[in-house]
Amino acid sequence: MRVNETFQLIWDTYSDWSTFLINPQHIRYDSLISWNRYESNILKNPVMKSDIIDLINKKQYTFQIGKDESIIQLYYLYDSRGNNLLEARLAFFSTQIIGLSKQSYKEFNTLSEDARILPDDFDDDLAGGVVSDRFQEGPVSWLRIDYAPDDAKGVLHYDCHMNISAFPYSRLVVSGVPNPRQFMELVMVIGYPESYRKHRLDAETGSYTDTSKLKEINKICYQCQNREVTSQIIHFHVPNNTLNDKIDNIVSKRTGNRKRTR
Amino acid sequence: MADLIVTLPTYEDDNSAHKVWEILEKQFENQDGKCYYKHPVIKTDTGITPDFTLFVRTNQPLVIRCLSYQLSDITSVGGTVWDVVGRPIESPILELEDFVVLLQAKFDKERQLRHRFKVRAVLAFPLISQREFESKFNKFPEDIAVIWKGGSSAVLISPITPELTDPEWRYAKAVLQSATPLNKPSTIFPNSNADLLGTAIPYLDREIAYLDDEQEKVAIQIPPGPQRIRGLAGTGKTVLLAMKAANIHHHYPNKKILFTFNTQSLYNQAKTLISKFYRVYSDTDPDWDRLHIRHAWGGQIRSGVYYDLCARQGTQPLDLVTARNINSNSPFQACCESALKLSIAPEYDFILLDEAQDFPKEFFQLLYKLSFPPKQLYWAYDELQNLSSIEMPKLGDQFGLDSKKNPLVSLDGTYPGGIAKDFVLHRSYRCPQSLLMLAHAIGLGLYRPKGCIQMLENKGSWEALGYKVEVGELRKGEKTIISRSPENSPNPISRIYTGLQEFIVVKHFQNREEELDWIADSIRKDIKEELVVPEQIVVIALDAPRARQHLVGIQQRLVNYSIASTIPGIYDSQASYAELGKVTLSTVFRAKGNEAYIVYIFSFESLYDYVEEIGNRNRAFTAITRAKAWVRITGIGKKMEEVNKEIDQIRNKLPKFEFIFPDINNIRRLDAETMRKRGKVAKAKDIASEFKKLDKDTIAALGPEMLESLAKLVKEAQSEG
Repeated sequence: MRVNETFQLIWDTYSDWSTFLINPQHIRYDSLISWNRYESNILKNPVMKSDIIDLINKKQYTFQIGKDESIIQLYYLYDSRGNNLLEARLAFFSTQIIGLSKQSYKEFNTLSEDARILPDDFDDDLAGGVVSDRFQEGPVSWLRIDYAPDDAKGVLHYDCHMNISAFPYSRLVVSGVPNPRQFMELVMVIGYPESYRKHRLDAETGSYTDTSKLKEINKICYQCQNREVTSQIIHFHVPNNTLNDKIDNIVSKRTGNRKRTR
Repeated sequence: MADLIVTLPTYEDDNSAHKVWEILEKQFENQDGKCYYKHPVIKTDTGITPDFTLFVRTNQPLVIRCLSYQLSDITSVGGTVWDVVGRPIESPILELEDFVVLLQAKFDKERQLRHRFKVRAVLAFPLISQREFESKFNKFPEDIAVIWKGGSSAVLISPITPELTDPEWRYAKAVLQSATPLNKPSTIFPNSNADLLGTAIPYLDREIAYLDDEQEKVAIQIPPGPQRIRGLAGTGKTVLLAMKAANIHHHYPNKKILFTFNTQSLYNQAKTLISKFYRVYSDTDPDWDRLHIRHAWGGQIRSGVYYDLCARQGTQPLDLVTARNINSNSPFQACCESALKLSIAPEYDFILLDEAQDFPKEFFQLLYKLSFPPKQLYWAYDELQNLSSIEMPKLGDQFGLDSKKNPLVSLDGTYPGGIAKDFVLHRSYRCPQSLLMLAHAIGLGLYRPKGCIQMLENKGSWEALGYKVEVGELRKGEKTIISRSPENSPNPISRIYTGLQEFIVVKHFQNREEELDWIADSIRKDIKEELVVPEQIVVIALDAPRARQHLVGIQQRLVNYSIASTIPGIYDSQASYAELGKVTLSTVFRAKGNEAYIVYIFSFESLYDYVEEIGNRNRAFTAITRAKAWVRITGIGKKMEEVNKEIDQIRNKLPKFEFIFPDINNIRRLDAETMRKRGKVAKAKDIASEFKKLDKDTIAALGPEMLESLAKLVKEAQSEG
């Protein structure tokens, strides 16, 4: 997954979810893919809603989710030739406060989709109220996938790992760095399942309506080089169809060879 | 002689100032200029401002110190200290020198004005003659002009040569008004023809902004009690209120001031404006512990008037859900009502309220209680931004009554020094005349086929908006002609722009896709062919419920043209509006308080919405009045054809309105009618959703006749829609 491929995949992500995403800010600067006026900033725990508002105001995102203004950050740093990925940080920060009084936490997913907090139908009279609601402070949900092999140390700090708001100090092993489209699928599944269902799935069976699309999305990812850990611990698997195809080819070749040998 | 502008009511009892003003008025009779009493533009470190600052077009600026002493009051006149009435005072001559240095620096700071002015100091002894004084003390140095009792005023004359050009005069006025932050810093004048949109805009930007007479008074005067400031969108209310706050803070640095408002996005705008205006006077930022900028409600992240009040009282504020349960139409009213039950102690010496038209009366009552006597509460009321309540609320209702059932606040008469209690700003600077009139005609529904939906009932209200009733007495069924004087809409675009594009363009499309395609393509042409920079373009959706969806559609199309755009949300700061290099795509609500040279308004057919027509006409009014030059209106379907006809009628009559005056009782009934329609639609939705739950067999059991008639109804409704 080279730098130009990755950048093209960000465009593809926007095209795929263009009714859902707003305010694209992505830029490529030589071997770095980030967003306009990028500032390096890792939020401290607990991540509060005001932190996210601050990021929104400073335009520190690749895309915003149209319905609730949550943000997605996609950062990939390649070597100077653009061939090898050196670092990556893919994050989703929700604007929804965990455990908002209206709904219980278990309904978070539904809440984030139902809460019509955008100003489409705001009326003057309501403006004050909305402000109060809007500036309600509280911790928000987030997830982040980091790839930083230079800092990695075994299973507790694997090359590629995921941090999530529920376990902010834990690093969950991830087999590889998702491409932008894969990360977007993950965000949608976790944060906006209803929209995901409408966009991708068959209403009755729940299976994908267009498997070729999924194949395309999962065509490529940046597989971690150190694979020992992934064979030792439960981890998040990032699909990689190119790799799978290669394996299939190898397997089929071997099988074929064996058959011939017999 | 032009106006004397009194900033403080102390003028009323300042007898020596009265005497000096008489001399000045006589000396500079028929001259174009201003004289300020206690203008804060210059203030020494010891907190003193000149008694008068006089600036007429032909004469060098004068700073005047009035000394109201009798000869017997003065014991000694030293170089640095005088002995007056038995105590030492700082030499008034040194103070005058301070004034000269400070004002001279303000002129010299501006490139356009450098080397043009030589500020002069004037000492005035209106109660002592020159002969008396010089019999007791030495003569003053020759460079100090002195006005003596019974003496000549010729010493005041010091002509400016060569005469000031118009731009120099305008810019110098802006300096003296502390209005320079309103002007762009660039001194480079565009050298291209103004025949493209993008090349005409820099000429508009170059127009020197300074305050007109009405605005100047609002900004500078500090009334010793309540003051209402009324004016249309674009009259500069927010800017003036911010200037007023900065002035007050400069005059009274230890007094506590509150600046409050309704629209969240105003927070940063207000803070920036107040800082800029304050920094005209001072090298430091305002003391934000003394000058509070607060949203009316607030929240846990950002403090607000209501939240702060609850915090001081140790009471839990109502959250939105609870407040909505109490009052679903106006949850903030519920909050204010609950706060009014608390015992509220005064907290502020001065309160400035912007967007007063958006608040319930309970908030006014709350602010009244929060202010110390003499209740220096100043509120800016946007006439007609909220067309649904076009008649000014009665003060007794707004602030309440005293124990004798008299209104707590009265705006009759004037304060000492001639400071107005009720101010009307007649001139609307933002919109060109034709756009403003279009907005009013649409908002009121003057040419709506079924008649007006809102109306100003008396001539005074029309005049307050800068109109003149030419024909008719505003009686039911009577032919009415109303005109607007061009001087009340001084936007110069029609004078500047020499190209062929119309200021108002109306387009009708078959479907939404076509409409959005046209908008994106037109924006592309604006940018690529007309050389408009993207941040000068705003697109506003009129159809509130589907606004977001359509704005996203336009953003996608613009991405395909490689044009960057931004959809500011509820969390974005004001900076997201007109972000450099980006077209702004906005809802009407988010557009409030903002402006742009080119405004696109789409889904305009919702003007003929069955239920929300009044709301949508109000939104259309707000949307159109965001435009500083060009407006493009688009919509789809049959309703848009009707809109087209209505707009044609309006344009054919401009610059006048000609209509038959409606029955006001009918208009008053429209609110009830809207409620009734809302109820009907809600019921229809319930029935439809129940109907959708039925299985096919059950529906089939209705029989062919019923099904056919239902299908026919649906088809008819679709073609109407």
